Amino acid sequence: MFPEIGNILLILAFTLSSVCFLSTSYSYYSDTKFYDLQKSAYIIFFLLLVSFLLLEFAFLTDDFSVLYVANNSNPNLPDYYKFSALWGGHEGSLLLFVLILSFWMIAFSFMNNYSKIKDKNIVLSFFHLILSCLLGFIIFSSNPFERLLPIPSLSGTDLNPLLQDFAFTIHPPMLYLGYAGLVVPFSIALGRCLNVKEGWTSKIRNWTVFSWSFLTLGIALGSWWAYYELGWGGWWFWDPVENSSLVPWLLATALFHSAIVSNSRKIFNNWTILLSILCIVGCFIGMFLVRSGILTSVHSFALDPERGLILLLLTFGITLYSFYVFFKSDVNDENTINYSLISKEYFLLINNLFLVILAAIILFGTIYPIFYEIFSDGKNISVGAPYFNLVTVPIAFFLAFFQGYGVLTKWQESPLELKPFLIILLSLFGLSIFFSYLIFNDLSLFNLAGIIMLSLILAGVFLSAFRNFNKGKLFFNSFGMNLAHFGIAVTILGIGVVSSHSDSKEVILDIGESVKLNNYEFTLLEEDTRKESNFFSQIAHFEVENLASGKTFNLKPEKAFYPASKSVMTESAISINFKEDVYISLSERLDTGEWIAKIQTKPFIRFIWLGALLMTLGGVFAFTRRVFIR
Amino acid sequence: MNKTYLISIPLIFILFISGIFLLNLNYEKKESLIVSDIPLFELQTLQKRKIDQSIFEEGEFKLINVWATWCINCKLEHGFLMNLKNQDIKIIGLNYKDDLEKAKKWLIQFGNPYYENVFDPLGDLGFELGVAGAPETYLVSKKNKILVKHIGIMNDKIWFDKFQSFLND
Amino acid sequence: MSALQENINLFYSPTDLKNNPPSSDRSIRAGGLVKEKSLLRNTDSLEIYFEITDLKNTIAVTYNGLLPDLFKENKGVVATGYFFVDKNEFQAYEILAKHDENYVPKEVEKALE
Repeated sequence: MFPEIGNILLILAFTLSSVCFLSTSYSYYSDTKFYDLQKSAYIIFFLLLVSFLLLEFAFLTDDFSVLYVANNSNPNLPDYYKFSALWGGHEGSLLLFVLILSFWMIAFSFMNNYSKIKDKNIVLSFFHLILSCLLGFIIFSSNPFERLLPIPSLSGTDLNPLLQDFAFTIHPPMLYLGYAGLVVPFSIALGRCLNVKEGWTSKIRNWTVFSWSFLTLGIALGSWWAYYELGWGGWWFWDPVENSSLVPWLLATALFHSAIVSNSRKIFNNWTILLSILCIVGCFIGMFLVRSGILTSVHSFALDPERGLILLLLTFGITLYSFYVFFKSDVNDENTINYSLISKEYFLLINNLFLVILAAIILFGTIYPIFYEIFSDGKNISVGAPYFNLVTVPIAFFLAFFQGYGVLTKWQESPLELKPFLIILLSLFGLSIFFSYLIFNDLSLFNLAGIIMLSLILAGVFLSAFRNFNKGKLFFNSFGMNLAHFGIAVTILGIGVVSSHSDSKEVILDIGESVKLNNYEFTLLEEDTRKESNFFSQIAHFEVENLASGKTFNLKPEKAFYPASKSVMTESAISINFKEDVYISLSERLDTGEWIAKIQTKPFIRFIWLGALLMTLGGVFAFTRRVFIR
Repeated sequence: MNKTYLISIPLIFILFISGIFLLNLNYEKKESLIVSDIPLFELQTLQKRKIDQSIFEEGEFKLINVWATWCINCKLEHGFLMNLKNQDIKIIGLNYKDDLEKAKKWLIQFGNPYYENVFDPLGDLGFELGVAGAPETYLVSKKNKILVKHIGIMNDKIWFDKFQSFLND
Repeated sequence: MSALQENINLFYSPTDLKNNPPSSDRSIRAGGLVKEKSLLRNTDSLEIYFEITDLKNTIAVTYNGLLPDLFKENKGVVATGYFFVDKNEFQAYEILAKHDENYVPKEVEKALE
């Protein structure tokens, strides 16, 4: 009964949303009266929320007559994971996505007042466009309420054990807050094409920064999850799914930088609109890649091509429609200014150019296997991580180069004040080299590149913060920006060190045996087993001694077996430390009773996620200051 | 920059990759016609009787359906298989890596669409056939050649698209 | 572009490897099912030997390292490494496996057809 109600609510939301889009379009093109559609936005959110809760209810009550629940849950699953299992598969995660999208819609319409109903309706209609497309897709080809009748399943297949994890429960919601948030600038930009001018540049800037913050956090959570849950200590795999979240992130980064220029200088207007559209197109292409099953990946949902075709048509339709609206529009820069080579405009232009090129290159590498398959008559290839590393690192290097001095430049024309910048830059550089030697006793090329980028960014950030501090405005002028830039430097530091100083060893150990890696001695003390409601596992107790400090600690990696899905999981054990993670994962137990294990040290890896957290905080700070404390 | 360029360059890029995606999606659907023999085997039925390849009699079309009680999607196609049985199509079940008691209970509870069931707890016959998972369905010709292999759920559409044409020959 | 050319790994099934073997200095991926009872392990090192089959042809694989959780006999596997045609041996440096009864890596599925 309840699943049918959920289904009906979805259909109602779909109908209402389509009506809102169509009626606004009709009113616009026939120049007739606009009806206030604010209330319908609230109603849609409410409908989706109830339908979401009904699906949650089906999960929590183990209603295995619902196909989606049967495929993603199990009676023995702890309640907490039953709750998050909702977004463990394709259908449910889409439902979560549209719920979040409708939430952004009401948040936007609640916080932004337009003087004319017409203007507000036009902007909201583009939310409805995306929302109704996705709702239609859910209802007609990915319905989470589909029943498994007349023969309900007795127990359910279980949630993929990889997803039975805390980071996973919050990773998709964060990511979706980011993706769906990008619909806000998209709607404002298309609204601008239809002459809704009221504060469009500042709105785009603020809302993009806000959703960018969530996207950053979402991606970082995904990387953190992969690090400890996939079991082998990697934190970024250049996997198609990861790439398709990175591309919108890069485009969004370019977008709000461009929106800053549009807002302050009234130039780059068309470029800002284009980027707003590209962000959404990028999200849709990503969604297509992940959900059509066209690429194989660790994270992708295994799906049929029919859904892929529908998603492709949606992507195609939305692209054509938004480009048509853009093409028909009459947007011009409201200012004609000449800016010199050393000006904020010019630096931000370069930033945008590099970010977009980087996004294009990553997208290209991701979909290259698809091209290749067509043109080589069915040969399969994969693009290796070295390609991505090789192309991203130089571009990231240039970005850091312009980012560092860029934050110090002024609009239109600024004097070249290299002296204080160079002094700070060189001292930072010297300090980093010194510490690098102190901690690791050597210096690799990769590390050197990291240090140069780090020093460049930090020199700019420190100098800018210092100037603001002198004016007594540390927390007002661009504090959020400085914090986010500082976060980037921290992440770069983490990446640089972990890529060049990680160490690992694969070992076979009997009970009582020891092995050394760097400064640590690992001893396998004993083995043990434990049984939980939905899995049982073998545990190996390791004692790890830090030979430098003489301190010891215990690590207990596990090998877990999940009977419901018949799968084995490596539960690694990690000693978390700012300077260095110590990481043990079990491979397998030999018949002789020995364990094969992989032991690793991961210096500075925490900095990668710490930096992302700082970027998020910086973004949220910038948003709140601009929107609430004017 | 000129707006025409701003629009046309990304648009061409997006249209181009969409076109490639489209080609690739269609490309996936083309499946080659496989013709191979039924492997020799010697196993038991669910009733513990001995069974071997001679169960495949020449002169009629048969289906092999790979199923298991742990397989959710097998439940989804179960109703369709019952329909096929009512149309007098002979389905040989391959109970794949399953539990004997559970499998028997399933057939009593939900109905038995199978002419005969091969119990393959270790997946031996499954391996010879190239079974990757469940459900899978194979069409076996009058001369005991495997003509079609379908991975995933069977339904009317797949039946008409992939299987029906062979039956009419 | 050249970075892309150097970093793509072509996919081969055992039959492909037999019919037109690639040169041994190029990293490729080979996939199929792990042949039953073919897995051998060196007792005092991490060296592993097994065979990949597409039910038509079989190649020998050697690998020095840890096997993924989902690696099993009769299951789909994709190995990345170098193929030495003179020894008919594939030296892998990375092994990927996915064990889900309802799922096979797409390439493997094709190789088996």
